[in-house]
Amino acid sequence: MTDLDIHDRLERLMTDEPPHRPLDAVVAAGAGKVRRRRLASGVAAVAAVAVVGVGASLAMPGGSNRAVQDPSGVADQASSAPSTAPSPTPSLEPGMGQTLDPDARAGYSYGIYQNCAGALECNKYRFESHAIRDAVVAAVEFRLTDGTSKRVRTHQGEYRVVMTGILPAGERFTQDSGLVDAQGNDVDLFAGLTLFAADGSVLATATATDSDQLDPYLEKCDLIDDPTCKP
Amino acid sequence: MRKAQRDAAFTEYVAARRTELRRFAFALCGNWDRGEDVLQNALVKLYVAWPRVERARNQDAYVRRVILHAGIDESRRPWRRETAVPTFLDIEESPAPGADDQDFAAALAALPEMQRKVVVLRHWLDLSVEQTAAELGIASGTVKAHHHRAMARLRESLIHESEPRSTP
Repeated sequence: MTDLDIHDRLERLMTDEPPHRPLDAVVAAGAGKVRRRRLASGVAAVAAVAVVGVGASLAMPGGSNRAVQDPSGVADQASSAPSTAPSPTPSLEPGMGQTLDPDARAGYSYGIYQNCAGALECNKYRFESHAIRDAVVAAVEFRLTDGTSKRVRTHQGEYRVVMTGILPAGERFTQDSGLVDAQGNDVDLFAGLTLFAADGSVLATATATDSDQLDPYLEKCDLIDDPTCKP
Repeated sequence: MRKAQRDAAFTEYVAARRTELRRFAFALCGNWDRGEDVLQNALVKLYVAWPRVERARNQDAYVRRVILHAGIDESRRPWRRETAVPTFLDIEESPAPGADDQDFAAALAALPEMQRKVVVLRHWLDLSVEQTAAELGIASGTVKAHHHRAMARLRESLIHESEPRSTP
């Protein structure tokens, strides 16, 4: 079997290549991910701006959440409501809180997957987060909006948390918008995250709308599957 | 970068490159549906990283790397069952792969994941041993070992497939 054989054989297997799927769904999914990432690390960036006095921090009425106008004017998207997750703080206002580089390291990242084989209508979820943080982070606890939580030890800062369960009442998966509530509004399962040191003390705690404390312990890699991404 | 600019540049790139990228994913997965799932997942990641990747002009390498490390079994990914995947079994104009090619596909699919990746990178993308090692993040010697074993298994599988089956 020669090199040419393999290349040719592979090429012959591709004769029944189907048409491509529409690209819109990819763009929408990517844009949603950018939006969530900005939200996750947004408040930390706002705090930095406030310290150096470049931007104008603004106390949001009725809560402790903060936002800042984009001093650079390069924001490419309006903020969206972050989540309907139970939280003591209100959502960021539209048009506010856009100071972030899209490539900024994430405060936290995760995936929420439909957890049913073959079922079109399915309310079982699989929540998963795999990341590497500073090795001082010895354990990580995720909390979800359905009241469940899970704590795992890290291996030199690396961890993978997997949680499964049933979606809160009224929530469902959709192909175009991801997870939505009964009214079709974008919702999230993520409620909060706590990082622990080896002695069990709390290093940082974040909610779906406030991730200030994660700033010193941001995820190390944009792409966890990259072989260069190591603890 | 504004969203409209990002979307336009991203869409232009994907429209130009997705056929080649999907073929790469197909070669790894051995299945168009899974290949498409893996590619879509990679493209979403590319969209997120687009400003940096576009500046570095290494979009292909980025997507390839995501595909390589996505894991060939994508059965746990979201929307896999929800996405309306058209079936094209009724397309009759395209000649169906022959029996030998189907045997080859089965033999390739039966290879351990890393051996399959090495075979695809070496023979489909025509990468050198060193380039393959860099793509996979392993040593050149390991690439050679995987390649040697993979080729031996492919030969063995195809010889067995071509032998007439004895009846009991």
